[in-house]
Amino acid sequence: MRRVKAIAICTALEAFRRRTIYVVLFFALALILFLGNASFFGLGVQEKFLKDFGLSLLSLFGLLLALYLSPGSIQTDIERKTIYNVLSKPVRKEDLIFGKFIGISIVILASFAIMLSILVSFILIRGGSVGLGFLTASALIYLEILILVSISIFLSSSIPTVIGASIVLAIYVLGHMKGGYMKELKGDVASNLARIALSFIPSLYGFDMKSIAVHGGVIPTLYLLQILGYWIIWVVIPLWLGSILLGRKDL
Amino acid sequence: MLGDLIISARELKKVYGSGILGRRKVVALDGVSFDVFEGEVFGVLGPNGAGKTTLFKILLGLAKLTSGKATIKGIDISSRDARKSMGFVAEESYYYGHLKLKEHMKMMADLVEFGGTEKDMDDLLELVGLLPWKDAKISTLSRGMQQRFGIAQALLGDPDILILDEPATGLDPIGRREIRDLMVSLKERGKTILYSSHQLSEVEMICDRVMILDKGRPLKISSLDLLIGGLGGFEIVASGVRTQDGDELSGLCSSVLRKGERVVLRLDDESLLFPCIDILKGMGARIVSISPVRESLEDVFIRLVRGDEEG
Repeated sequence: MRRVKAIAICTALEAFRRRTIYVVLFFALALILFLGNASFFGLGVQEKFLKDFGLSLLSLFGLLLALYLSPGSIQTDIERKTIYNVLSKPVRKEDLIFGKFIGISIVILASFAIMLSILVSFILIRGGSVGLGFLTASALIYLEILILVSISIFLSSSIPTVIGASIVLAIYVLGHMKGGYMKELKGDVASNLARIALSFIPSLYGFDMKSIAVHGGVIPTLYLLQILGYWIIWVVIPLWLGSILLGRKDL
Repeated sequence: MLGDLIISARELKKVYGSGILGRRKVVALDGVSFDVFEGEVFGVLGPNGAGKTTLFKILLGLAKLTSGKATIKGIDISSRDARKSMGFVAEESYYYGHLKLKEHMKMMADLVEFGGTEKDMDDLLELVGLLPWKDAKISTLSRGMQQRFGIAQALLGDPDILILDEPATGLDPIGRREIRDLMVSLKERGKTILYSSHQLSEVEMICDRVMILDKGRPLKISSLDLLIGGLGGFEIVASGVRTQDGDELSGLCSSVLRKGERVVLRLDDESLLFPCIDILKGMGARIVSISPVRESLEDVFIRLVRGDEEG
């Protein structure tokens, strides 16, 4: 555990010292500030708009951070040979992979905390209210982004950064469209093949609880437990596969 | 007197697959066997592409063996435990440049489960002369400083074995000297060192034994004394030798070379030394110097590698 922690801290420190992360945060905050001060809607509508758009913004900037930090996490270490320093020590490949994941998760969590606190402040200043549903929806977006981080790290253990990032972007889009598309599928061969192919894409739409959050609803506990179980599977399996792939690689 | 067996390698073979499907095979190591004993500095020499770095990667668990067996202190290299007693410095500095020296040291200390305090880490930085820079980012250090930092972090946990893969490559003479001095002090502290370098004069100064690799195969494993210790005759430098006396000398000497006022006489046979001195005295010449001729490591290296290419 000490080794995983060391790699996580190193990954987080490295990320926090890159300027790009602050540029992304700056734009996210600028957009929230712009929306918070805009007054083209009535009070009730503006609050719903602010919540809806704010959560979308969290998802979008979370995706941007995931794409910036994760697809190159292992590959860059291999290219720069920094991985030699780590793996020449008595470190398991799993320690490296899980350490990277935790480090990136910390960075995204800190960024989310900043964006969310600004967003919530604006909603409250504008006379709106923020309930448990809104905060749960935000947490689900964070978990959704972590699935993308996990898949990115898995891909990063064997394919170049740009290709990995493109695949993750496609997974984000397909993962959100998957729910609607699955409903359209019939029982023919082509549909069954599509169903099999889509089973390799996480159902990210399940993490999108914006509509409930915007209308002040509460997400059922049973659903949350189910989605948490689903999340654990989609985080652990890619990381575990990534460790195996990295273990087979000659560095 | 050799110490305990520390590294044992038997018939190491590494074949890399290249091309899209990995069908084209590149043999990086082929039948490499050697032993390294406690406290010795073992040089691994060879031209570029000889397989030196591949050998080190295999010992460090960074690449997998195709066949063969290697152990570190009796532990198979496929085990993580084998790496507990090893420190590694690569030919170039590969560090997380955004981290400060003390942060990087802390991370590496955690990776080797180093039980020491921050003071112990400071002592290591002091040893390599980098303590004043402990709060600086690694990316701001010069290359020589980064290499010295590499040695400090390789020493975390006080490993018995150090693998130094061309640690002085690209450094200026001062940087090279600093690395060499550090290696000498580590040798004095009883560390077992595997060392690779193209600076053969430095290898000659530091190593006890060397292995010369070429195209993945070992050409020679020998102690430096045996490899370059044999006398290759004598060289006499004399002045006041007249041109017409040259014929008399050339009967004894393998070569007579005139350099201005002086002549350089090369004797291949030790028994001809005193007769030659007598002749020079008889001519009224002044002997400037007499020195034994030894084949340098560079000469041996080039002879072996060229011989392998021709063979």
